[in-house]
Amino acid sequence: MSDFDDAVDGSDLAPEEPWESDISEILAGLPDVEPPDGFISVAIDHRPLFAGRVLVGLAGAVVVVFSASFVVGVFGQRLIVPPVGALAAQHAVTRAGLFDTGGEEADTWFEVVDDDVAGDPVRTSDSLDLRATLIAEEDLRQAVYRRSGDSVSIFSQPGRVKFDDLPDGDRVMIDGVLAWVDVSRQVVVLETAASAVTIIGLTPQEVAEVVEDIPRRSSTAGFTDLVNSFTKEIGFPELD
Amino acid sequence: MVANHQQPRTAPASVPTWEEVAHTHGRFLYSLAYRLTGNHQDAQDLVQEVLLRVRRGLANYQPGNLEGWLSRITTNTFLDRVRKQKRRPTQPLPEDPDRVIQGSPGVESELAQRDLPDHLQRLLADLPPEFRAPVVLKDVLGYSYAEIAELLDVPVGTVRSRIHRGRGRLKEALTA
Repeated sequence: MSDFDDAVDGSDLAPEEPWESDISEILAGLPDVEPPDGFISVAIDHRPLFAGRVLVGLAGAVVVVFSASFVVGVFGQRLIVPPVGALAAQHAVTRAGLFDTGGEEADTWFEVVDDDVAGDPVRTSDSLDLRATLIAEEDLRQAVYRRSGDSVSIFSQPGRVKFDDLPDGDRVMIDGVLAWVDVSRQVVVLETAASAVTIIGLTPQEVAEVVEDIPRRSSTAGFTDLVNSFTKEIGFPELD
Repeated sequence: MVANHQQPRTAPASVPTWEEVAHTHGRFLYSLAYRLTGNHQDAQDLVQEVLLRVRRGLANYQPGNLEGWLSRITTNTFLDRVRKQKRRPTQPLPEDPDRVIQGSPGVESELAQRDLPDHLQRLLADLPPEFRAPVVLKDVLGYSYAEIAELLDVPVGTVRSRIHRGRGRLKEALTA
């Protein structure tokens, strides 16, 4: 019998004893605890990752609809428009499933595969721990990393990014490479040598730290330069 | 007899938006989360998770006792997390000052001013979560046994028993 197998109907319980009232009174005197300054605003600012991107189905399951569009460019390369909203939803459901964040059971179009099938876009990083690799149609791959108790997803798909068709956001140059950043600074789209890459995390800092690990089309700057280039563009303090 | 399905002409009570809930009840959520978890980092994580659940749940929310609904979500989310941690024990992460927004310095000084024992919260945090949650709901938030039974979806007698035992442990700790 566990410590909590104590379901009773209460009919045979004695009324509260005087000492219980004393304890109750002490506890009632505990003051409210104020959230730290800015915490609620920060919590609300996390909303864009989920807002309008997760469709709740009748059974409460999260259904992610991928609508990645692509065209064939003049040199035969596919031009990809990453479906950033659907990818953010996919990150949310995998995060919930892998890291016990309380999310609901989810159906997605992705299938979990062995790491060596999907590959590890970051490959080596002390701060990132590859936890799962998944794959969907059109060779769309997802790698989920754990970092500092939370997670970041990197989605990749062979082809070039069609930046003109991405939704509202900012275009920034990172180490001479064009990238797209959404208004929440939680989603970044850029190109590696052969793929369109979408990086999604819960905080801009997490995303920034992953960006510096991605091997891009041209990568000549050092570690700190790369991070500073990105953090400067999105308005965060530079590294020393 | 034919049931009258005609709706009353009163305007339906409006469901708040997610942002309104966060702004208006954020302090309430945080205070409850802190009393349940016992530290700022876990309280912040819990509130974040609760707000996500609130956002998903607002579609089905029937206007009524909003704080009761929020208390139910917060407490059940807390207990869910405790159960999952028990199934998957993990090493606690060191406090990362970059990730945790520090609490207002005024909170501790206010406690001191009121001459409340500093270790009361720690004693509360030492209670098993299954005792702590009903004790917090009853003695800190002032819910009735029946309300707590409904919030936690357990019999009233179970609530009374757990509160009694939780208070007993607190008494022992306070008088030790």
